[in-house]
Amino acid sequence: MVRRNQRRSAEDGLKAAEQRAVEQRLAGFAAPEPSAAATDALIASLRPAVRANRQEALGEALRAVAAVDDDDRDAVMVSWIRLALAQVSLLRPPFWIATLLVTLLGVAVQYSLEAPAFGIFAPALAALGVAYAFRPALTGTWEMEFACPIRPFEWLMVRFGVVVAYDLALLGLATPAFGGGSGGVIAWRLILLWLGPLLFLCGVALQASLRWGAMAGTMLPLLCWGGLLAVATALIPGLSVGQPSLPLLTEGIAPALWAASLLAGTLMIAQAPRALRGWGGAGADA
Amino acid sequence: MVSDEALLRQVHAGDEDAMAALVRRYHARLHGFIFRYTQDLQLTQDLVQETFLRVIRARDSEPQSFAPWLFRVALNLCRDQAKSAYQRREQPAAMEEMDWHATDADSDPAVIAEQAEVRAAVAALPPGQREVLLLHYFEGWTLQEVASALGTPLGTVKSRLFSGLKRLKSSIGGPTARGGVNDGQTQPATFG
Repeated sequence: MVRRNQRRSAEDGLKAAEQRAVEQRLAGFAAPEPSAAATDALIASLRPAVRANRQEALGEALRAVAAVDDDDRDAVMVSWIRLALAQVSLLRPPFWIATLLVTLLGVAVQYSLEAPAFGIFAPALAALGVAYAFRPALTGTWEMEFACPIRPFEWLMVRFGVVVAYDLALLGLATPAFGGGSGGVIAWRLILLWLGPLLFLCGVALQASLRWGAMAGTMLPLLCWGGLLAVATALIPGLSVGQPSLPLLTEGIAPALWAASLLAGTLMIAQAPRALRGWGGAGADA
Repeated sequence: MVSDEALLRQVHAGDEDAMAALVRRYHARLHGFIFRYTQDLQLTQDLVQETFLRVIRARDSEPQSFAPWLFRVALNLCRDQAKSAYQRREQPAAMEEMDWHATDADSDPAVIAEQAEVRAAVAALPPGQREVLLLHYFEGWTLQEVASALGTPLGTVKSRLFSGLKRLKSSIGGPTARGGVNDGQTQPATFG
């Protein structure tokens, strides 16, 4: 390399001796050396930046953990959707058709009699739907469902969700028809009229099924619904079956009654895992 | 001994002891390199600190070889500073104002004058030639290493080296006060 450098120097008109002389002069280009104290001061000044790195590295690690959790959540969501699709296929066509027919019947009665038939049919629809959904408890397949890899809690909530979602979709679609023929009843009051009792009876059906079996889960909600109607009739002056009553059911004290039933129903559904633990014990750990 | 690259990874993970070790390894070398480039002691201290800060903060960078990367960071800072100083039309701090020779053991006025002459000659070199000379002679890098660090073809680096030497020869090529000639047998010739 030295020889090649020297040859290049010669080509460029710089002889080896001259190059060495220049290099020798360059060697005298001294630079001050930093003291140990200066190095310590420099290190001290850099520490905050390193600490920031530590914080950032910690943040990245936490975000990585969170990302794993997100992945897990996505996987759980996918498995629940698959489970819901399986429940849809388990609930045979007669169930879907019967529910639809009951809803249409309620709509027809409402239009022909102007009676609160829709409010009466909707909760019954929910109670019967939940009872149908839990019929395996009466047909002897319950143990098999316990034995499957899907936890009972997941099975319970997904199947319950499928049935209630179907009911909600049907009644939601039917609601505008009532709003149009009800003399301008505010939509949210009309929705509350059926949504409150529906969720209340769903909650009763769910809790009763878990605690006392599917038969109780079918009968108790209907009894509750009868009781609720009696309470409504007592509390709402002028309310009687067969009379035009939509304004009575959507004004005054009525919305508060439906809201209370909605709240009670939501609480009962939210308490379902605890009821499952007391009833069957296994799998209610979610 | 832990490698520079391993220490850098620890620094990026927030290890202060690794940072201290890395700084102790390279502070003097980096200080010398930047001082010879800028010839301004205060600016050198600032740029040394900024270089290390950039290295610490470059958490996404994992250089295969730490030292060339470190000096490339420093060189870029020096270039940026020179460019902004030129735009502000600033002149380097006068040699007389600098206390740079306070650490120089040699207090012979003739030697000091010679060194001032060398510094002035180096400062007058075009930046490309100055960079090659400093890295090759004072940091002990081969021309191939210089080429890699600068991202410049080897032929260009050689050309800059010899052009720089020619310029220096015309400005400081005369006899020295202390006499003597470098034997030139080491490759690369390292002064630092």
